[in-house]
Amino acid sequence: MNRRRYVFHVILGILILALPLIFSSTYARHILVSSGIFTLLCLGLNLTMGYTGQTPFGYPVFFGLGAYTTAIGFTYLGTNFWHGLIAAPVLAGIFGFLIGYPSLRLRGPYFAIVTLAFAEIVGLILNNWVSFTRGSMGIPGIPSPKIVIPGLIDFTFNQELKWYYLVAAICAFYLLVNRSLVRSYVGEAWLAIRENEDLAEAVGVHTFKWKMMAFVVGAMMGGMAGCVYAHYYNIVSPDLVGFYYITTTFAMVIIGGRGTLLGPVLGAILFTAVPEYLRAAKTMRLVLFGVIMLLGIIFMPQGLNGLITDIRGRLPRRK
Amino acid sequence: MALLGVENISKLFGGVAALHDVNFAVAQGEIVGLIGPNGAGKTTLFNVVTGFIKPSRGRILYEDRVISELAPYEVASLGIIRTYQKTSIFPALTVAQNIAIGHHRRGQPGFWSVLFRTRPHREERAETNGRIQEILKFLEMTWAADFLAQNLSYGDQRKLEIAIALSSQPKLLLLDEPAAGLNPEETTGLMRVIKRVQDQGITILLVEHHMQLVMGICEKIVVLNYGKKIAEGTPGQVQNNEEVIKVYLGEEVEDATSC
Repeated sequence: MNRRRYVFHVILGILILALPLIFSSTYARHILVSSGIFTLLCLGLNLTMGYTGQTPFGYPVFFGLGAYTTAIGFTYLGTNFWHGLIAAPVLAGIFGFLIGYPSLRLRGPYFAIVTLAFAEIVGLILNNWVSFTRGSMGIPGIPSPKIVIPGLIDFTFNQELKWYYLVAAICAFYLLVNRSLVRSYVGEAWLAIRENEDLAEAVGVHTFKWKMMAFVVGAMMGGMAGCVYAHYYNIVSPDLVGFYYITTTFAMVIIGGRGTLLGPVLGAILFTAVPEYLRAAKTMRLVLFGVIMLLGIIFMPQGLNGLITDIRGRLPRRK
Repeated sequence: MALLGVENISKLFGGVAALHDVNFAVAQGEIVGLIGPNGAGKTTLFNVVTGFIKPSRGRILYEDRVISELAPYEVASLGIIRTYQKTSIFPALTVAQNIAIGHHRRGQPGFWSVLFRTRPHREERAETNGRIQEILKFLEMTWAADFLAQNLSYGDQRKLEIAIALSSQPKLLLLDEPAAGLNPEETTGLMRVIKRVQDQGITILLVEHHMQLVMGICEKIVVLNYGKKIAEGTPGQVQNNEEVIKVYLGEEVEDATSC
């Protein structure tokens, strides 16, 4: 890594640490945390959608599954956040595998449809199995995470500021995992599938296996994001697998930049912050939001990340 | 000993026989040409050999092993690599990345090694990069390493296809009309490349319409027409085969007035 990049990374790191101190209102910090949670979700989605080029329409179902795993675990078994942080991705991963196994073998829209149908089924169950999931009322009272070592530490994540650093740490973890995978022969296989599945297969890429891996890892990431969500908002409801999350996460990844490492992060931050700013526009808010999205898709086909690379490429190069 | 054996292969699409009882063998180190008019079944045969479609009857033998039931990536992992009739590359990736994907099957460190960037992963990366340079040099394309594949000229894209195939270190290389759309100069260049690939010990099966190329470099030629093999032999034998001449040049109309 050259010196300039190193300096850039250090500055970026300091900025990320200082962000909630600059925006110090509870409200601003809340927006930061919630864009962090969306970042987690988008980083998982990007593996399948951005790198392998498959479209898992129902992807947020893993978010919902993760959230409900920890919520139900807490309600019936008394588990805490840290149990959920393991259990949610495991369960989401298992379901990802079960859905991917039949549908990723087929080309065409089947995979998109099967994931969407699965999300629909899970939504129906969450809504209607009232005795177990409390239906549309959701499960409230999920406690904030604690770190307790008797006599030494008794720390509760009960403020936005503390949450910010927790979520930022998990984001960093996700990014490191994604970076390792993407910058390896695994990432090359994924891109090959997106670009030309037949040719990939013809030179010996086991396309099914790699699509499956991207999907399952992405599902696990979504599951873990769900667990974080549940303990931050203290409540889960069937909305988590609904259309709002589908459209939002897809818009975030597309506008941010599919198949790029940081694109989903940019998209998630933008799409959490901008609607908040647009609140001033009241009823016009969603309309404006739609217009911004359309313009984004037309003028930034590579997403924000592509736009930035583009601008950087046009700047005179300094040696 | 034959490297590849095509034995009694038939392929029916509905009632149409795309291939009908085709037999031939490819020996180690040979360049074999597969020719025939459009629709003769050449590409179908390629698809059968590489596992993309299953034959209706017959079997494919490779190193004395039946491979006609294997999936395409499994066939590829045995060292049978193909190119496509229509230019087939990874368009939005760089030339170097394209070639790296060809190398995919050669090095596969484990999941954890990739995640923690431990030695197997680093060694694989170094090896892949070395392989990319080697192939770029071999095809005189070093200048193109960082170009996006979609920005290359048509001729260079066709060369890149061969580069991708070569980087997976095939034992048997199947080229589907590699000269299609190339100008005479590029075609001559291609002939040289194919010869040099053969010199590396790679066996080649080639579908091509460009007769000068086929007759110039192939040691053996198989002629298909309407899914049937109508001739097989050296370029000289095939050129003088009556049936082949009939297919390529047509025959006299017997009596136009009889109908």
